[in-house]
Amino acid sequence: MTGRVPRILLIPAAIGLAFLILPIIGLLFRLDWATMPAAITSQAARDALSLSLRTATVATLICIVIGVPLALVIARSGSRVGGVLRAFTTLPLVLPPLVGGIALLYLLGRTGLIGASLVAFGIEIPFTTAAVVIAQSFVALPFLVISVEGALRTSGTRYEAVAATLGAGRWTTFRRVTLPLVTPGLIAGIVLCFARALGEFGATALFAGNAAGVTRTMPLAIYTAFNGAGVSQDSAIALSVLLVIVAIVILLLMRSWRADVPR
Amino acid sequence: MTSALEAQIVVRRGTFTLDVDFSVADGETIALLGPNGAGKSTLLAALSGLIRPDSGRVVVAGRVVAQRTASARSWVPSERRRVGLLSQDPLLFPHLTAIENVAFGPSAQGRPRADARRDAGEWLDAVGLAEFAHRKPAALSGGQQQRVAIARALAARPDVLLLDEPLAALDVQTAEHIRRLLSERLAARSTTTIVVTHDVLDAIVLADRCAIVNDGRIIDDGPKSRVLGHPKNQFIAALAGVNLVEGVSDGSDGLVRADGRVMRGRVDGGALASGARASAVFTPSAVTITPSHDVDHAGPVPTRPEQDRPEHAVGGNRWRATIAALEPAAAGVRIRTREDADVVIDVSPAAAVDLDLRSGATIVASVDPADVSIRTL
Repeated sequence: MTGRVPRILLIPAAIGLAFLILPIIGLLFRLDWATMPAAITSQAARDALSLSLRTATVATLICIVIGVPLALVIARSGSRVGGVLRAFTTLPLVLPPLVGGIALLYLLGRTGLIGASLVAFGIEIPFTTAAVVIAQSFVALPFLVISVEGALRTSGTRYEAVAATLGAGRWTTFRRVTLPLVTPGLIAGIVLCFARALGEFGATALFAGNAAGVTRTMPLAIYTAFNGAGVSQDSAIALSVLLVIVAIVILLLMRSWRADVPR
Repeated sequence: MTSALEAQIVVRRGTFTLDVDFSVADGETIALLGPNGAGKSTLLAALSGLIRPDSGRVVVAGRVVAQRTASARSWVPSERRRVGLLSQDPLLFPHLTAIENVAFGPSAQGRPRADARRDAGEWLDAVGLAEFAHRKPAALSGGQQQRVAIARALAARPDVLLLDEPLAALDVQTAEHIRRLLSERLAARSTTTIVVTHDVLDAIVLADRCAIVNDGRIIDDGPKSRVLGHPKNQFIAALAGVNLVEGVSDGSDGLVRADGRVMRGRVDGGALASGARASAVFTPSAVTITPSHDVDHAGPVPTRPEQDRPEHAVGGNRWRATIAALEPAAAGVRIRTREDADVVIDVSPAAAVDLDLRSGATIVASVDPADVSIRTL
């Protein structure tokens, strides 16, 4: 260990680590290895996993497209405006996802602020796959914005000023200087965003419902299985382990990716 | 000669006001010399378009790039000014290799990729770094990074190049290399350049002309030989690192000081009328010192002006002084005396040890008239 850590702090640190790892281990102990292959390859499980991966990917792409520009605006605003914008951005982070789901329902639902007008065009969002993506984007966007915004503020504007004196316009500077400089922050943000979208439950349940194949993502499938609606708790555990494995794979991908980032 | 740059601007920052009016001829290099906080960097930021002046205008190569007067307002952003900026921090893009950094300007300005690369290769070669083309900045030394930054700034072919303390972050030896490289490269393309510095050496080596900036204003502007060689006032003399003694001419080669002492020297820039205000300039290291007791053997040291000027007599060019303070100096040890606030004396470390210098000791200082330049103020 490099650096000096007071020995007394090692005890709470160990407790903290155990607190994070033991539940996962408990899950593995409770897992019925015999029925696991069948549980995770069942049609219901595959549908749920496929839906989860597709919706989380789309939600992440949406978050990148709208989140990076938002992060740039916040990072380059004055401290007062930036602070207000940052507070609004972090709101979904501190809001219970259930509340987010209700809010989305009252915005985009049949009688909602925007939803009522959409109905006139024959568009109904709630309880569709689109609703899943919207709910996931809503809860995951702050993770991407905060991560990228922090990286942007750290890298500062000096390189951008140099690029301007070399004759680079704003778009060229953004593309060739600003973005590459925040790549590590962007990748971390994307991974966090994707992981959050993948695990999203509360807002999805309220805003998108729990229709198999349409809105039943992994977390909802696990919830459904656990409540014993036709499936055993064993398959809930098996699906949980599957989700844990997916999360670990994502984290490992991030690590190997970050190693390639220019030092 | 046409002006590559004309600037007449006022920038207010809190209680600080920058108010300057100057121009730089095509191909000329001007040094803006001044202490920290004089407003030099603010001026460069206004010229390069990083901040907006509160009033006035900036003209680059005949194009008005910033204007804010009662009748007209205009603004050209940095990227379309063709004003390059090189600061003490090389600020190479860390994700690009050396050659990609240098090619950035040309390619951002729309040159084809292959063209930009070839051009960048030539510039890297010109700063002696051809073999480091594919290294990332982190794998280059500070001096090498600054050389790449020079190549990058020049490759963008600016109409005017601004250098903001370009050597301040480098060690003495590296700074010397880069200084020589800069002066070669600037001369080779006759790039119009403004060097902002607090180091008089940069001004001497790089510039043709020198302007002194203090507290947001240009207080002197002219050929470097005159501005630095014969400073107008004590402030500039301190910047230039020379002693400036003021007085009136005796009509010949003498300068009569307020206390009546007469300092002799060579008269530069035309004969002086008796009674004309004038100043004598000499370097701190031109003064030699001997301990006071050595002189006591040779005879008493008169403190009154001598009338007859024998070769080694004591007077304006030879005076007794009490050491008030000893300070470190580039040349060794700097001596301040109680008698003359406007004169400092530099001696080598060896001489300082031999003479056993300490505060309160009495010394006799002398300066050869051949080392003293006298000129009208």
